[in-house]
Amino acid sequence: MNRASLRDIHVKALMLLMAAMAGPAASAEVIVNAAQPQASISRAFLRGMFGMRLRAWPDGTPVRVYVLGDDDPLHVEFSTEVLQTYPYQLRQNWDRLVYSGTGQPPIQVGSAEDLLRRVAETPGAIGYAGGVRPAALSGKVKVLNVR
Amino acid sequence: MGSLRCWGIGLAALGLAGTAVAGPGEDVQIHGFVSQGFVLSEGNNVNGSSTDSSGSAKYQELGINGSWRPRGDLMLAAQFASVRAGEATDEYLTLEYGLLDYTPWQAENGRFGLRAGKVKLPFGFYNESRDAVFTRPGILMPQGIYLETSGAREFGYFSVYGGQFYADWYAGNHALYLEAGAYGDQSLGDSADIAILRADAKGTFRNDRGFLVRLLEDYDGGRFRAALSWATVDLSYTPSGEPFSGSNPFAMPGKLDFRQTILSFQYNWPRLSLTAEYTWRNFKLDDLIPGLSSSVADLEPSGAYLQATYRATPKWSGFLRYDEQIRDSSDRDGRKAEARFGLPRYYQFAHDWTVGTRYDLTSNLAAWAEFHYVDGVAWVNPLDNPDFNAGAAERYWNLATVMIGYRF
Repeated sequence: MNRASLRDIHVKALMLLMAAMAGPAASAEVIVNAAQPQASISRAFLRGMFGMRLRAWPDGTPVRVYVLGDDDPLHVEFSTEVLQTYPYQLRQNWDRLVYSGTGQPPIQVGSAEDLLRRVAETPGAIGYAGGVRPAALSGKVKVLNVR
Repeated sequence: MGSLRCWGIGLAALGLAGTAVAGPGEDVQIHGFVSQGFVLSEGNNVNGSSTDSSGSAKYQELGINGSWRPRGDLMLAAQFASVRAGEATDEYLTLEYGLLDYTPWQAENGRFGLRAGKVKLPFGFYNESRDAVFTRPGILMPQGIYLETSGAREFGYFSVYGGQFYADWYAGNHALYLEAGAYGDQSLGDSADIAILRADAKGTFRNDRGFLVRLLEDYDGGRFRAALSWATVDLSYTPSGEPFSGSNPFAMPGKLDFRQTILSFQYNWPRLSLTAEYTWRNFKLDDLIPGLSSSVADLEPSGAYLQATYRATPKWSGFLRYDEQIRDSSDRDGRKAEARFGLPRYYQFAHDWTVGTRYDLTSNLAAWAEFHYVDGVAWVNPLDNPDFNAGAAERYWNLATVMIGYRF
């Protein structure tokens, strides 16, 4: 085994180790307050809610949208993979609503834990989560399938 | 004095921002913006005496808004703004919008509702939120579509009292948004004559009625967007009562019809956005200036721009834009107007090449810079250029402008 291939193995091992430390790629999921009756949601409805246009659930409960900052990796993943749009477009859309008097922006929180807690505590709340969730909140939020 | 005033309000707003951030109710929200621009130009003035070696800082925008959503189907919202843009616009504090929004129906596949009060005018991609630089495609709006430096604010181009119906329809990857508004009798401000006649008429204009529709399609979460906007406005002019003279040529009452159609297209990639908008307008002036034949008095202005915006990083973007404004599309090079009115033909068009950049220092604070090279003076403001109507404007000119803005 020559020196170059040995170095290759070292590099590959290091990459594997780094991947293991980072954990499985956080997969963004839609979460809602557990009191919401539905088990799934259409992407169009989801876009309407995160676009801050649909402001009430079918039963009339006001929708409360919680998000992370524009450059948070979970927000980026949720925007691109689940909503299938770009964070900059969400931001442009919210700014347009706020400064034209036609809507309110979502509530921005500082961390994924905070987002989870706010969705658990707030009737009508919707947000997103990735990775492991604390067991204490298991009955208070639920994951919606996106149709 | 103006800048002192504006910054005074600015500091007050920043103080308020602190309280808004400290405890925002989720149903009551307070937001706002403040921005300060600086313009340095060669040839013609824009937003103040920008050809002076020290440039012009008479370019300030400030707004504060509040909204309250007591129920899922109701919202009350209002915004006050203070805007200084050279000699044309100097609003101490005006109500930009103040409205009640009721959404009787909203479901998985759409919604409809009504807004009433003072509402922003939705046309093109950018008009309704243009007061906040954060929502604009650059510091200066593309002048081909979004009239600005010719007293357009007072012309009721920004917001008016009236009612608006809106409906959204969602199906698969399509989202279709309709807005239709009707606007009643209201006065236009002091600078409306500049916007309409390019001259300081002594009488007053009123907006008798207006109607505006915009149909906008967001395809695949906004990857592709297209819009059709159409507006018609009937204006009337009441003379001051002074007799006709060289300094008071508008001594007769009259009417003026204004129509505008805009087509808008945008395609968005992760980093690149391409935007194009095209407009054609029609001014029927023949009832305003008695004795003029309609071939002289009816103008068909047009405008268009194409912009490519590249986001190198989420914080840093740059753009390149070509923007043109034509005062009469049957006289694109201005020769007919030159023969009739004696003003240089380049008063009838403006071709503007712009390169610009935006840097977001934080999520609330951003800085902009752009450079314009312009052929023609169609949107140069006579109020900022006292010799303009004597034919003294420069045909080829350029301007650099920078702006810093804060929002909350």
